[in-house]
Amino acid sequence: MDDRKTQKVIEEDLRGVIAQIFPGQRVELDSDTPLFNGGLSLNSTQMIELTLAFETFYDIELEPELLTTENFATLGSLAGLLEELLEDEVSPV
Amino acid sequence: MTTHVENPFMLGLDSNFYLKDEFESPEKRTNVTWFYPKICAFQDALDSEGKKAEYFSFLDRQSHPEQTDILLYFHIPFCEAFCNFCACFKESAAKYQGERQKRFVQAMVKEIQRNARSKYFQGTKIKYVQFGGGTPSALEQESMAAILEAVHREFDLSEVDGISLEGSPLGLSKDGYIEMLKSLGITRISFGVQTLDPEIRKKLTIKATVEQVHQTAENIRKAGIRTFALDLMYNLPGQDDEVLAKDLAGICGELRPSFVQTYRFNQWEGTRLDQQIRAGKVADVKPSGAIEREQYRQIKEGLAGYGYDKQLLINFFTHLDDAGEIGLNHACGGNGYRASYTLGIGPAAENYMGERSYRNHTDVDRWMREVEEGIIPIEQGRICSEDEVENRVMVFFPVFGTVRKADVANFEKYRREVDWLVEGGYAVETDEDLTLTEVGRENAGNIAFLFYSDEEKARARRTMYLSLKNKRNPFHQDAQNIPRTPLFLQTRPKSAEETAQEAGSTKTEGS
Repeated sequence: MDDRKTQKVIEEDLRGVIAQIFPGQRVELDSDTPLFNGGLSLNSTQMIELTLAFETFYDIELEPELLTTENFATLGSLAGLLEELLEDEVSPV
Repeated sequence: MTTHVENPFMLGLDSNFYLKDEFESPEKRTNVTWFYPKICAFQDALDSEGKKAEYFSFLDRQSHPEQTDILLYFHIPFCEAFCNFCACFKESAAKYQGERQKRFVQAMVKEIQRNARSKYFQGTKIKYVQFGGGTPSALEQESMAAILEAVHREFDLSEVDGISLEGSPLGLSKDGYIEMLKSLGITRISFGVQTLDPEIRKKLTIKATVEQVHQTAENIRKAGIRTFALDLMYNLPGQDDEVLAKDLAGICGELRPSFVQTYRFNQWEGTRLDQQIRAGKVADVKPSGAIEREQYRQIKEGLAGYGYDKQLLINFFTHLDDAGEIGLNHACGGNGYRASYTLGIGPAAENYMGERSYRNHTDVDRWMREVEEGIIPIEQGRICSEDEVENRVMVFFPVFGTVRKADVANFEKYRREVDWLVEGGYAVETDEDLTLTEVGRENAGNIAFLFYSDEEKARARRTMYLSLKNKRNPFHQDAQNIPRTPLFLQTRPKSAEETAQEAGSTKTEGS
């Protein structure tokens, strides 16, 4: 069985994680919803809170170098990054 | 009266954003930068004696390169009472009374001597002395006097512009305190009024009464202290436009300080007030990013109406025609502006010495122990890159509102940012200088971030990540007196497995 998660599934996971850690947020999260201005309006602390939450969710650790504007631009870009990271996790050596 | 729009998810009060794109739609005003380049306990730990010795070898080997541009900063971390919105490093004054306070003062004096007698500071003249905290006036009179006497004895203050001290009406209203400060050379006293509204003061757990505020202002005037400054906050919970107008009238019209320092409310994560707001326990009006900018404008207009129409620094206003010896570089309490050097003494004090940026231990007991044992009481320090040192002038320029091109080592390096600011109406460029417009001043914090190096932005994100991961204060990485457990860690997020199990059991129950 292929354990790899698709970007769509990861986006759905992220919606759940965001709903859990920011229960007050009311923004509808599409793939291209910005995570900062004009979208979810995360601030820098919340960006890290989200990171720590999905680290727990997937049981992974993110290299701090990956905390870039590009990777966190939209829900889709973040899901894309996680897809790559999770793929590395399940790839046979 | 303004309708306060509440955004329960994001209050729009981001304090530390490091993304240049953020500025493209500046719906949030960010705080101005007071210290740059920043340091981090996790990335810059000086955790071995060898590292420390190497890092501080300059103290006994080199002479100071600029003999007259030194700010001496003393951090006195004690407070008689904790205001619930404050994220500064602080300790309870009640814990450091009697013998413990004596020990603290002895350590301060020893630290003063060690620095003043080092080769690096020999022959230097101090430009400004600032006591901050915490609340320096939380120290007993004899303790403060002993520290001030040591400063006069050990450092050359012959060309000092002033000696300033932050206090609170609780300590300053004690018999003889202000007179003692005056006799030992204090030229400026500042204290936080924040608001004169008794109900809001109660909500913010500000212990000093409005009567004590008035009495302290009167006593400072009577004692003949040259100038005094009061802090006024805006966008506080419950502080609508009418309350703010009354605060302006009370502070500018009645208390009439030499300077008014304005601070917007920051909902620092982890403070008691932050937790109360998030838990819905702060009734009626909440602080909001939507009104923050509007109240900034109200304050500027209101201050001008009372004659405080000279903006010396971004948040520092005066009615005086001649601000006297309050030099721009140090007027706001001295945090290493421009090329000035900051020598910080006391727990949690930050230092900037050319390319070296370092910070003392925040743990008071550890700081005292290391000073007593002759160990340099520093917990973190770094050598900044040439790029970062060069950027300082531009990062700090929004604080002043203007920069002379002659003061910038390589002005053309910032051409892209400067053009963007000018085209956007945020600044005006002439042959001699670059000056922020009104709208530029309004966005001073955001503008400062334009000049951060990429390296510094990346470091800042790492700092935030490592701090929260280790459950420490993301701004100073101290663990004391600020509950720093991020909200989501208080209700631990679930793993994918737990989420799936939960979903399964809900399905079973429902079927």
